[in-house]
Amino acid sequence: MMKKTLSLIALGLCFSPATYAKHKPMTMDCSQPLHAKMSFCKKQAAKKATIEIKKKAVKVDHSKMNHGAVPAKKNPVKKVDHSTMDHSKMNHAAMSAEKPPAKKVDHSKMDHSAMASAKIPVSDGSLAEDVPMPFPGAMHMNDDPVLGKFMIHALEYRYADNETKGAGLDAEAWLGKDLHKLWLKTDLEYDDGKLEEAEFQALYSRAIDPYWDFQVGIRKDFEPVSREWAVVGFKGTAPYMLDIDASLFFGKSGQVGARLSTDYEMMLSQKTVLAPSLGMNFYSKDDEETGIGSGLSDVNLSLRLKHEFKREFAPYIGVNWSKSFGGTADFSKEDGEKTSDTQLLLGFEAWF
Amino acid sequence: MSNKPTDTCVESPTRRQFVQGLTASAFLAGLAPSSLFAAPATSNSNVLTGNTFDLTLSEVAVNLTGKQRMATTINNSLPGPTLRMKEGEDITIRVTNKMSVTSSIHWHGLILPSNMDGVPGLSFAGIKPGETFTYQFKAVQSGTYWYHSHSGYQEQTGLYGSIVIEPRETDVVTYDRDYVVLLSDWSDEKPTQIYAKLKKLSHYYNTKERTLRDLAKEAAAKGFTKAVDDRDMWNQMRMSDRDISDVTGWTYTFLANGKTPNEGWTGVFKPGEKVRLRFINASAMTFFDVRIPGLKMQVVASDGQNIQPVNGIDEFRIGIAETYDVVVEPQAGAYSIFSQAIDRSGYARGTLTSNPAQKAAIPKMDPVPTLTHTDMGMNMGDMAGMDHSSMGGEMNHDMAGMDHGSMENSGGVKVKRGPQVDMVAMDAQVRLDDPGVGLRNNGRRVLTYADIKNFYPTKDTRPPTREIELHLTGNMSRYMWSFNGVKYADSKPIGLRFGERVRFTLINDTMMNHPIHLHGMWSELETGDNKYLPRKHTIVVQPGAKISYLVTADAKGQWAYHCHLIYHMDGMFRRVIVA
Repeated sequence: MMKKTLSLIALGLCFSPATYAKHKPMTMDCSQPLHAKMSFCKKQAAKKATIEIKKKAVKVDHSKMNHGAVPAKKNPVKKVDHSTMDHSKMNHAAMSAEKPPAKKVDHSKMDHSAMASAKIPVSDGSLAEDVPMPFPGAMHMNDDPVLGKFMIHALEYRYADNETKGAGLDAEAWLGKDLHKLWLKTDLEYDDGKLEEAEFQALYSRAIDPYWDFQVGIRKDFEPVSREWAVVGFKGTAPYMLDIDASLFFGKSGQVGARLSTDYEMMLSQKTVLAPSLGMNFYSKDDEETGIGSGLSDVNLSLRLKHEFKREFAPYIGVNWSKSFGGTADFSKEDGEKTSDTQLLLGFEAWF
Repeated sequence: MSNKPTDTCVESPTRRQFVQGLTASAFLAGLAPSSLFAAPATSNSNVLTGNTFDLTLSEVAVNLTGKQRMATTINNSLPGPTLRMKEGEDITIRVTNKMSVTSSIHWHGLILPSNMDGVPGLSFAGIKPGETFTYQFKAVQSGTYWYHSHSGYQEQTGLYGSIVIEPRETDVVTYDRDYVVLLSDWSDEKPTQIYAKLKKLSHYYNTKERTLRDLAKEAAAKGFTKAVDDRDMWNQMRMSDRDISDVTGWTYTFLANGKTPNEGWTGVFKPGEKVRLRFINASAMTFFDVRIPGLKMQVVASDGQNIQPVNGIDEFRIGIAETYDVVVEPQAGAYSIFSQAIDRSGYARGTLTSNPAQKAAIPKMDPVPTLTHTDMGMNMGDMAGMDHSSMGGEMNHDMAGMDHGSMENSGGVKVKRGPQVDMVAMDAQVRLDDPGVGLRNNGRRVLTYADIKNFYPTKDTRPPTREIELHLTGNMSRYMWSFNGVKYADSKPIGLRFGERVRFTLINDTMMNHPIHLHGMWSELETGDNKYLPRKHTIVVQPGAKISYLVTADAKGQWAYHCHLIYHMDGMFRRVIVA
């Protein structure tokens, strides 16, 4: 059982954005396997390779480079070692078509001259000690006000057939500042007029990376069975604009749950969005009371076609396919319930 | 030299009508915009001339879009009156705050003592409701400048106006008539609301995002693989190459001298006259690309300072808080002064006409620009403005191909990484002759910083003794802005020794242009010719670019130094202390 728990945690972490957390988008470390695959790194690698080859092949003839014609004074570019560069043989013709307009090139304007100039110290200019303001308290600048956002991701009617109809609410809210927020999440599901699932999460959310928040807090289930959980998770945007919410839940009885939600928005037009989403739940132990079996418990795959009448309001139609697996599916079968379901969705998304 | 600058604003009935219209709007708000501006002209309150000025700040209802909104105004006017003064005179300006909140007026670009600079906290405590503050300073310079509130978001809601300082000596620019063309952006939304929306959904105002349809079009044009490949990097990086402006024409109505595009501002000339247009960008968030189809412009001043005239210009980009003076010599007829927002989400419009009844055709806006690798400081071979293929011989510097890995790009100034910084330009280049995104290869002669040379020789010819390097940093999606990854609230002041000559190097690590404004001292932009460094008060740093300028710390005191995009300013801000 312990092994299973561990593997689930490991799985959860795999899905979690921790692997991306250290990812520095612009200064891509192309030596990282993940990055090396990115096309940018490939291009860089190719470019470097080309230059290396040329360096070997050609000796630099600086006498032909007209550096002497440029008055030696100053330059923002530091530490340029021209002896290690081969400017003469670079392939200008290969430059892309994105090239801006042909204008007179005046190399005297290009500060190559200064490359040779004496170095001056560079710093950020900050004083070591703060200095009091001449008029303390008079400058009212606040880049980071306390704000709040309330988001209904989905408030929808679900139709499978005349016997199985339901409704659902998936909503979140936050209150706080840039880096620290109180984050609330709720999920309610009605089936045939009965509240089947109701959960509520209250989390502290801390920005840990340009695109990721670390979240920790509690989850309370009201339906189908009352349960309390500790929550640890990551929420953010992965490369390719995938919105991800990955959480681990630790229950009192030693039960560990993992949940992964992934959403993507494909803009068909400025206002019409096709949004696929994928949700998965895993549990470490069977829980007969809630009808949950260990392992992969269920998968939800949905596709919503939204139209943003306003940024803040987008009604949609959609389809949802859900399936339970393993022990969870067995429990469902025992109860005479279906293990997979397809529903039509009609609802809206809203925030303010 | 037929050098008689006429106070044309006073003479122009159109202009008079406009301010009347606005003054009237305080009472007539609620009517359709067109009717607001039809009030009869009875005063010339929009231009004040002399050496003593009285300005009253008040909250007034205006109607620029069909909806009544509260604006902050100066002498009941939006924009405030043009202050015309003369170089060398002792100026007194009494500013009375009749608003319900503390205010301030900063004289943008004027060299004056720091206690007269109008920055609450640094210059003074601000002007509290009901108080009058008297500014006193000597007009030590001439040219086109402007003034605005330095408190909260009051500038966004209307607290701005223009300043024209006539030179003591004969003007080096010859013209028969001059007009101020003050560009600005108005929103019916409250600025705090705009800021909150940007924090909650940073692309809220971007209605020109990439769609599947665009991809289909591109695929048809350049093949599916190439189209997808081009999108690939942006998607990997979770960024948008259409991220041109944070706040757009979706909420903004762009104004020329306070007039909406529907209304249009009109300046009248007599055929044969040389007309000097004093462009001021008093926007909160909008860069404008300005052109006058049918007329070549001679650019004669930048940020109020005379430059060596640049002839034959079709178009120029004006950053927030910058000013450009141009001279045109129109034939009889009507010409559109067309100022499209950088993201093409709208435009401000004026007409220059020899016959007030004659209308000029309004040009179409250019296509929505798309950021390139250059704009990300990636330098992937699209170096702006330099046609390397046309260069022969051995001297070809392929900036794009340089192995910059062997160069230490920055002088060791580290950007503090964390949630507040979404990227650091890998390979920012000095791109003075790059017209910028959306203006490259447009078939028009576009002014660039490389064109600008001071009219007068550089006064302080000492080389700088040290360099201050600042990265302009931010996280677009979290909407956080900073210098070197440190926002103002967490920063220590920048210290300058009185009298020293310092180089400032700015590296833009973000995807958008930032106009950086140093108070109290000139920023002498290193455009290539050290003998004629142009003096500017606001320097635009293009995305992914690097730029440097020299500052002589000749003004003691505490000064503000910041990005002039109003919703970036509170984070991308530093105190500069000269002692």
